[in-house]
Amino acid sequence: MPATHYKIWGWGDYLERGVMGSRHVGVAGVAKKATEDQPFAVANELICGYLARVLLLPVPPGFVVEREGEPYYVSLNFNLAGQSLPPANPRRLVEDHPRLACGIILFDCWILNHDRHPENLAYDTISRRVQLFDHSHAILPAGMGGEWLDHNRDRLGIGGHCLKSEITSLDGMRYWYDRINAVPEYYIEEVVRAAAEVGLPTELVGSCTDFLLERRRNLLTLVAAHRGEFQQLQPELWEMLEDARVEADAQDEGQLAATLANSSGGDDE
Amino acid sequence: MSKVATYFIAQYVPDLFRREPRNIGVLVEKDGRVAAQFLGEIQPGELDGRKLRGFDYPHVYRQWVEYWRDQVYRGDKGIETVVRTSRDHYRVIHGGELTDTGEDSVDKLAAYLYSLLVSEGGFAKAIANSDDEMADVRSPKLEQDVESAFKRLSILAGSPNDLLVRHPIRKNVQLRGRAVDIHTPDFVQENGRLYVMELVDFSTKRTSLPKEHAGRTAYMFSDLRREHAHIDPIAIVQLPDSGYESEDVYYGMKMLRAESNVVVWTDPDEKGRFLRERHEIAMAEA
Repeated sequence: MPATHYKIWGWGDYLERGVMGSRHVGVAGVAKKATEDQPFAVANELICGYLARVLLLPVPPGFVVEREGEPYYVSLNFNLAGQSLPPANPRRLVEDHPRLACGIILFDCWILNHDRHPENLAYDTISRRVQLFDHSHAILPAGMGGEWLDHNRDRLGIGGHCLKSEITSLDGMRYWYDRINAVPEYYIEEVVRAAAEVGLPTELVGSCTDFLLERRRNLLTLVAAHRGEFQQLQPELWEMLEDARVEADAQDEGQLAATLANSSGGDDE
Repeated sequence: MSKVATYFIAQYVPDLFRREPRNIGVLVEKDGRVAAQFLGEIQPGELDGRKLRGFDYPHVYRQWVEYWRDQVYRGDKGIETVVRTSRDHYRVIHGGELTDTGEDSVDKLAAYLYSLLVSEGGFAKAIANSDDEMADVRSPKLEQDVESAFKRLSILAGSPNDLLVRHPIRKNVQLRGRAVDIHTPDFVQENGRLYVMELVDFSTKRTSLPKEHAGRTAYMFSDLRREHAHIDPIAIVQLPDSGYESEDVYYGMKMLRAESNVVVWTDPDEKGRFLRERHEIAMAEA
C-alpha cells in the first residue's frame, strides 16, 4: 500500500537549494467540502482517513486545505492502473484478498460506514491492487449526533456492504481486530479532536472518541452477533471466530489486570 | 408492427485534454433483452490481445469489458448501471433508437450497429466483407456524374470561376454528429443552412449492399440533425432499371425518405430541379 501510485499533473524544476535531485511536483487530488446534507463530511473523512492509514489499509493519503474560509478534505488521486477502472468486482476482490476483505469489513464496522459499494472501492484485477475511498457518510452521517452512535452501538453498522455477502472465510478477522485494537488511544483521541477544527461540533468529540474506543473492543462480538448477514459463510467458521473472540477477551482482561497491577504498584511507590 | 430498440455506445477517451472519444462498443436493448459487442472481442467477453494495440492500457480496457459484460447479463437494469458508472476514460452514452426493427433479434441489431459505429472502416464492414463489395457500393460513375454536373455549373469548390461563387459545394467536409463524432458526407453546401448530400446507388447487382448503405445514410442524417439545428439532408439516388421492384430497393428508399429529401438522379425533372436549387443557393447573397 505505501507504494501506491498517484496522479501527477505537473513535473517542475529542480529546487535551487536543498537535497540534490529534489524537484517540485504537482500531485492531483480530489477535494470535498461539507454540505447542507452532510455537515460533517470533512470531519468524517479526516477521522476515517487517518484511522485507515495507521492501519495500513489501502486508502489514499489525505489532508485538509482551506479555500475561501471553508475547509476541504483532499484525497490524493490514486492511479492504480494508469486510467480509471470500472467499479470493483466484490467477488473477485474477496477471492483474491480474503484477509483484506475481512479487514475492510471490520474497519467499516468500526467507523459505522453504511456506504461501502463497488464505486468507492477500486480493484485492479490484473495487478490485484485495491483502494478504498469516500468515507464522508461514516461515523456521523447527515449531521447525526450522539443518538446515532447510541442507536448503532449493538448494530453491525455497515448497511448493505458489498463485501459482506461475498466473504467465505473469517480468517482475517482476528488479525485485523488485533491491528485495530493496537492503535494507540492517544492517536484516536487526537484525530477526533482535530476533526473539531473542521466541522465536528465540540460537544460530540467526547462521545465520538468514547464510541470508537469502546466499539473496537466489541468488533468480533458484533460480527458474531450478526452472522446471518454473512450469507456465504459456513456455520463451522463461526466457531473459529468464537474461539478467536474468547481468546481476544481473555487477552484484554489479562492486559487490563496487568495495567491495573502496574498502576497500583506505581501508586504504592 | 414496429418495434423499437434502444442502443448505447461505449466510448474510450484516450486523452482527457483533447476529449476526442472513440467508439469501442455498442449495447442494444429490445423487449427487455440486451446484447452487446465490444472492440477486440472474439466472442462475448473473450478479447484478442492483438486488437487492443490502440489502447494505452489494454489491461484497463479488459476490465471495463469484463464489467460491462457482467452488467449486460443483468438486462436493462444493467444498462442503467453502465451509463451511471461512466468514468473519464471509459463511458457509455445513450445513442438513440432504432425503429421498425421487426423481428430482428437484439444480437443481430448489436452486430449491425457495431459494424456501423465501431469497427474499423465502419461503413465498409457494415455492408460488405470484401473490398470488391465496397467497390460495388461506392459507384464511381454516379459520383462522377454528379460531380461533373456541379462543375459544369461552376458551383463545386475548386472548379474554374469558383471565386465568384459565394456558397460553393464542397467535398470531404467533416461534420460533427451527436452519437458519432465525425461524419463525412459526399457533398456539403452552406448558406446559413447546411445542405448535406450523400449518394446511394441502387443499380448494383447486389441490391442488399445499397440497402445497407441507405440505412447508414439515413442514420448519418438522423445523427447530424440532432447536432445541427438548420440542416437539409439530401439523398441522391440511382435506381436500377427495374425501379422499386426489389424489396431491398423499396426498403432502402423508405429509410432514406424518412430522413431526407430524395433526388432520383435518373429522373430528369428531379435532377433539373435539384441542380437549379444548388445553383441558386450557391449564388445567393445570404
